[in-house]
Amino acid sequence: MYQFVLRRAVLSIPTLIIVSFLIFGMIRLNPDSVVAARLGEGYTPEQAELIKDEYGLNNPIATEYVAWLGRVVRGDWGESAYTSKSVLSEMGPKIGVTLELAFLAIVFAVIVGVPVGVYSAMRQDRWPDYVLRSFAIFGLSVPGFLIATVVLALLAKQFQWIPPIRYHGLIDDPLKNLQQMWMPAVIVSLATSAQVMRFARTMMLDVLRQDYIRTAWSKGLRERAIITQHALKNAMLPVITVIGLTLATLIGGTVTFEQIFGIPGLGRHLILAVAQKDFAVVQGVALFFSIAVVTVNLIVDVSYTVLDPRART
Amino acid sequence: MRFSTKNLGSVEGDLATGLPEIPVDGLTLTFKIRPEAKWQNKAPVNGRAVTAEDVKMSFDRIKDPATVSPRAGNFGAIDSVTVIDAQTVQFKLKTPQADLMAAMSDQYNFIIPKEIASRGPDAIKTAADVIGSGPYELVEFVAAQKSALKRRADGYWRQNTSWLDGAEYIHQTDPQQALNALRANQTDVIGTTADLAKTIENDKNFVITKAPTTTRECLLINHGKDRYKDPRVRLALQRAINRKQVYDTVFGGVGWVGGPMTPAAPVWVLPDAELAKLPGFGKREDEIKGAKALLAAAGLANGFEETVITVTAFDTEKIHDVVVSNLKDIGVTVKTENVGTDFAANFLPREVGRQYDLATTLFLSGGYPDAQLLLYHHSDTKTKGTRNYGDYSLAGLDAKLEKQSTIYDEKTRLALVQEIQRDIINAPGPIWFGSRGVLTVWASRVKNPASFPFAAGYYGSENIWLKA
Repeated sequence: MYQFVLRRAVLSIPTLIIVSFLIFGMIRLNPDSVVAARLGEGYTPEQAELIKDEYGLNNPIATEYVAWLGRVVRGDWGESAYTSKSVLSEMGPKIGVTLELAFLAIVFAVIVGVPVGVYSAMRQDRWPDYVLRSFAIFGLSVPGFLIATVVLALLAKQFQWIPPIRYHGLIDDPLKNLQQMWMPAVIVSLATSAQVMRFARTMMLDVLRQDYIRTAWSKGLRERAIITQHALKNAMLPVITVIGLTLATLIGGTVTFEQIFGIPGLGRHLILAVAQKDFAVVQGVALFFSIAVVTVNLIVDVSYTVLDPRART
Repeated sequence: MRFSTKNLGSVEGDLATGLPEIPVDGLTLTFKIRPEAKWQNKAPVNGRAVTAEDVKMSFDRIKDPATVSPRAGNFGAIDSVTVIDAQTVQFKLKTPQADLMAAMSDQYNFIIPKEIASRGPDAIKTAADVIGSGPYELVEFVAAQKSALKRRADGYWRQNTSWLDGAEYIHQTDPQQALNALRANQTDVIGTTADLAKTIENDKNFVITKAPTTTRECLLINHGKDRYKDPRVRLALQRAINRKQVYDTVFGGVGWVGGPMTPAAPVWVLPDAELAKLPGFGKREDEIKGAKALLAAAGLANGFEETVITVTAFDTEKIHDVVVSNLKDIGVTVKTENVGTDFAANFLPREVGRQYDLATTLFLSGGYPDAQLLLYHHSDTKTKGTRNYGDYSLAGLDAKLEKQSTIYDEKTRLALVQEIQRDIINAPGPIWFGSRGVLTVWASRVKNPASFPFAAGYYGSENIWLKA
């Protein structure tokens, strides 16, 4: 088991190196942007050279990348050009906000997606199945940001109500925090719910066709007992994988929603940093998202093998 | 000093009791500081009186090269600042600078306590370091999230003003969600777009105000190109631009047609009636006819093809679409070269390096004659550091630009400033379109709402109060 975990962790390293090199390299595709962001209008070539030297833009990219990676590993992710604070210290409180939103979205997705998927499978090719599948296709096909925009505009116009726009931290004021977070979490979770629902339905149908389920029916067991005691566990194993992988996507996918709902998470931080051309912050947040995705994938792989030892090979 | 809200483009005393005493040579400006003005009651100043020493230290800090202040250039003419007594401060200038008071009134220019100014470049790092002499104190600042002000408890010297107990600013960059928040009574005022403003223009729950900005949209001409050495060709381009169409289509009507001075400073602009008679501002059909005649006289009766650079930023690319259509009307076929989305990194260097023939662009500067006229039209780009990126020159113009810069009397100066505008319009020059505006939506319970071109400090809201 430990060997498996170690092997998977080691295999993640090349992925991280490639991604971090891409992040580092892309920022340097246009060094003039870095200079212009720092100096604004009307700078001299000499001033530009000073800035390029400061950021190492005149050095070979490989040398600079190795030096940057070394600093990152030591916990020095650079300094924001906008606030002069360390990138990590600025990201710290925002990571929790984004994780909270992603976690809430996953909770909603599971609460809705799994039971609906199971029920849909139990009523295969009957009207409840058609209706629920239609909703799932809607959730998958309509972009979440569009749903958020329309829902908020309608609520504001018709009921003069929207979730609070002043952010309160989860620890500072849990109630007010949830008042603000529940709606974006629900909307973020729509596509994920649909994905989970469709996957749960497919898995459940697959399991329901197995011989041991047929045996259970022939024994005269009730539907509830067959579903909960025999089918659900086997059907849910692949669903857990999907949920885990979706969590990785959600962490990076909350960017638009944080912007719309005014939630001060990492996504909003990234958008502002891009607008302000705060390159150290853009690098840092992008790198964090990459590490988060790779880590979640690793955790999913490991948890899958815990649940199903056959997957360890 | 501050910009007047009654006479837009003029300045008036704020911390200073009024305009400074100026001798005939215009080189020594003596300001009297309002004796009743006090700093807010925060350490280390604890509500003491504002003194001439504070003013001196504030300007010395801006001018100190170590501060690297972007405002240092505005005060390059200041040779020294001397404290005469606690309430009197004297500025000695290298050359007369009539716009010095306007530069002092700029929204980014503050007088700060000497205790803070003496800390040098990093004087202000947290909300606690922000100590002013105005009616409101900064109590909270979270970058890109929120800030909060409260009215100072020890009173403000200006009576019967600044009625609000406090204000909270919430950073919401999505205009639709900002409007939603206004509808949901979670905010009292928002900035918005023309499209969204149209959705509520007949709603009695809201009041919409608008004002021009000092940003000027422009078609920049590279005078180094042979074709544009002929003033008839430049004048044809000047006449081809349909300025009203630019502001109607790109900015939903929230824009002001204008010449070389921004309409945001009405004190300095040419009167509308006169402007309408100048080339480029008349009836569209007459302008097209006139432009074609000019091209024909220049030997370009069949028009010509031209590459025009632009950028996808600040709606410039949308303005460019109108320019392309306008130029087509006089037979000029445009090949567009869009340099991308980074204005400062990819577009501006092309302008500065004269690597273009024509450029659809915009310029942002203060709303006073030096910043609008001298900065963009004086031919001496090297020693004066002007932004005349088209190398425009006109006989006698430099002398006029320099002279207006030294005239302190507003009425005398206005005549020359208007003459300069006429010169530039008749023999362009960059081809100026006017200025885009800003829209503000207020909840109807907010009384006395107003928008100003020079969003400067608290005084945009000094007459505002809320109906319970």
